[in-house]
Amino acid sequence: MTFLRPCGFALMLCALPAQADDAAAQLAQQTANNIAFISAQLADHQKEFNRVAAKRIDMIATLERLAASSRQQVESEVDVLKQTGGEDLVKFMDALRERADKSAAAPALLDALQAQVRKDLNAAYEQVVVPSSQLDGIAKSLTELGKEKDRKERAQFLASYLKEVHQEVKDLKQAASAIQSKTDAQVDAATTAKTTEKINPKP
Amino acid sequence: MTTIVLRLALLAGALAVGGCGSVRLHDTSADIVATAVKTSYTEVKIIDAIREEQADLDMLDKKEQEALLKIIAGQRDLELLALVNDGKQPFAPRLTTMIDGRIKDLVREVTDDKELAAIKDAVGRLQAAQRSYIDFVKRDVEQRGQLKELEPQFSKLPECTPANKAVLEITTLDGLRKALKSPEADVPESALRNYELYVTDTCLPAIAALAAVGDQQAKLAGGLLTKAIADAIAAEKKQAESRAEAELAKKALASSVAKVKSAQQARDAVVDARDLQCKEEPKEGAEPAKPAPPAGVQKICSAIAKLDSLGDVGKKIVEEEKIKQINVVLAALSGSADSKEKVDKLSPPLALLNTSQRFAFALEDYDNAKTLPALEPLLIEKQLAQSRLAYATRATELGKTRVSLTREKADALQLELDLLLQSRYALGGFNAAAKKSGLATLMSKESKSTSGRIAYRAMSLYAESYTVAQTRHETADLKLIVLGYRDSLNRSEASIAYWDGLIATPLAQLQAYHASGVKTGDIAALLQAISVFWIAVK
Repeated sequence: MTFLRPCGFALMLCALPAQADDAAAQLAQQTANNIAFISAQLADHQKEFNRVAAKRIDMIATLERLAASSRQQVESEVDVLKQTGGEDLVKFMDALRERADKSAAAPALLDALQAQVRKDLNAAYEQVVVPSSQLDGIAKSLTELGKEKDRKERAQFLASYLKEVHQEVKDLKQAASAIQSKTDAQVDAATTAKTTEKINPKP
Repeated sequence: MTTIVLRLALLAGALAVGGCGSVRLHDTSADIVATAVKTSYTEVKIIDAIREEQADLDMLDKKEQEALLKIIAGQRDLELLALVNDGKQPFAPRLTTMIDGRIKDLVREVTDDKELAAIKDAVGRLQAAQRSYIDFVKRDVEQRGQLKELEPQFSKLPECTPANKAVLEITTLDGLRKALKSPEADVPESALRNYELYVTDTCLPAIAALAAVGDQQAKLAGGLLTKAIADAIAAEKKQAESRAEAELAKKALASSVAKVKSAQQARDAVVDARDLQCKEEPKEGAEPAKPAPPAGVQKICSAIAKLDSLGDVGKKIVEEEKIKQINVVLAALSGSADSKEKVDKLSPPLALLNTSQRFAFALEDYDNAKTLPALEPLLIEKQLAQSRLAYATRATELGKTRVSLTREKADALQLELDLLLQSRYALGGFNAAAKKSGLATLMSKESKSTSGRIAYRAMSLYAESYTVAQTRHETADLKLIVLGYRDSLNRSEASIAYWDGLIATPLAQLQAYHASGVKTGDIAALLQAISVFWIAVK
């Protein structure tokens, strides 16, 4: 039984609040606060919703009363017409009302027809896909090519350009000098020949 | 016997090695309370209460509309009766006065019959100019977006308005640089060509269409119809602009998320997750933030800020993207990829989600422990994102409804004007004698074939102006007013759903926590086993 004592003691120690229990208690407290908040919010919301609904119900009742009142007025006037030989006018009035009521539904029918035609045509129509995003990409690449170079790039370009040009000019100059020397020699030779001929005329 | 020894060894071992941190005793009363709380909360179904209110609103809307239609029908009948009842008074002048009174309300006073055609013409032109203007507005936003994609400097381009017309009509690169307020900017010539196309094909025609709208409005000099058309233009313009801008911002968000992904993949080292968050732009002259966020992260922040500024349309896109990225995180966590691979996969979503402060805590845990974060904050975040998305979706739908009702109201008012004008034209068919006759005379057998037909047509059209047109615009007007209630209720529902997300997950967590632990039954069985073991040993 001596073995049981430390075990029991250890278990008692474990029954004391641990760190995890603290966290759980904190979470429970925070959640309780949140529930209390939402409960108050819901109560406020319901109060406000009921107030608005009551107001709207009052408004609907007033509108219905007005509608009933004008209907009574119309019926009363129609009755006067009927009692005073105005049956034709009553028929005329009824025909007008019937026609107007029928027309009220007409726009909805036309809207439905239009929507159906649009839907059918859209289903049949194959949209042309223009590869605009591809073209935009090409345009962007071209834009990069078309961008003016900044000063540094310009200087670099100019330096390498001048280097190339300098060599070309140098080569050209050498070639030109060679041609000139050759020509000079030819001219000299020809002049010498002419001079010699004049000094030493043929017999 | 072996099992008993094993269990004993396990308990002793757990206590010895981990202490009480590894063994927690089950508290039955706490378990019962936690389960009861969770069950009660689930039974309350707070969201359902709000949904029932939506059904109440539907019913009230319907009843209001029905009552309104009855009122309009009553007004129509009383007007018709007034014409029919006093059959000996001249009919044509009386109906004309009634029609002109209403035309005055709709557009302006009619002083001369010749004006009727001018009014009709102006309304037709106004509608046409309005549609054309809206088309150009849509194109304007779209093409400005394309220009910005080609050259970012175009974001500084002044708005396409009549006041900016002179500034926008540019034919030189220097002029364009001035318009962009970036004289030093490197604007290539090809950009100028694109810009010229935009100005000539879209901006200038849009300004011309707006001028045409103004001209026709001036001819109508106010009234219900003119105001309704102006409202419709404003609503459609706003809708077109926000849709197009949201589309551009959505593209920017997608490309910045992709950029974070590719930047992450290009790096050898694992990026510190805390770097995947928005940093404040450094003030001029100040040193940039260290460490600098990986490429694309700031762009994500800018794209989200832009979308948020666009209202519900933008917020809807942000929340959709967040939910998508949370799902990417969840999928990555459930996979068997190694840490580096997981971070590669997680970087774009973490960068996007970290713009929410709540998730930053989970991210810190993730970073400190070098392990993946606890899933609860992520699940709560997902629930919150879903609530916000639900509200943003409804609000966007309400926005669309508002625009279409504004348009419907303008169309119905125009239809009413059209019917009144037709009725007025019909009265022009009377001869001189009929114009002075009462309705009874006009309907008598002698004149019924001609004058009676004219009277009937004129009155029918007048009656239709109520039944066909007034009912439509009054209904649209009423719906526009009560949309406010719907919006308010949607907001309440979103707010409640938001709180529900913050309550339901912790309650489930608490229930699971209190259900766990070493139960007394287990200990009793164990102690019994120990006793038996002890007796056996003795």
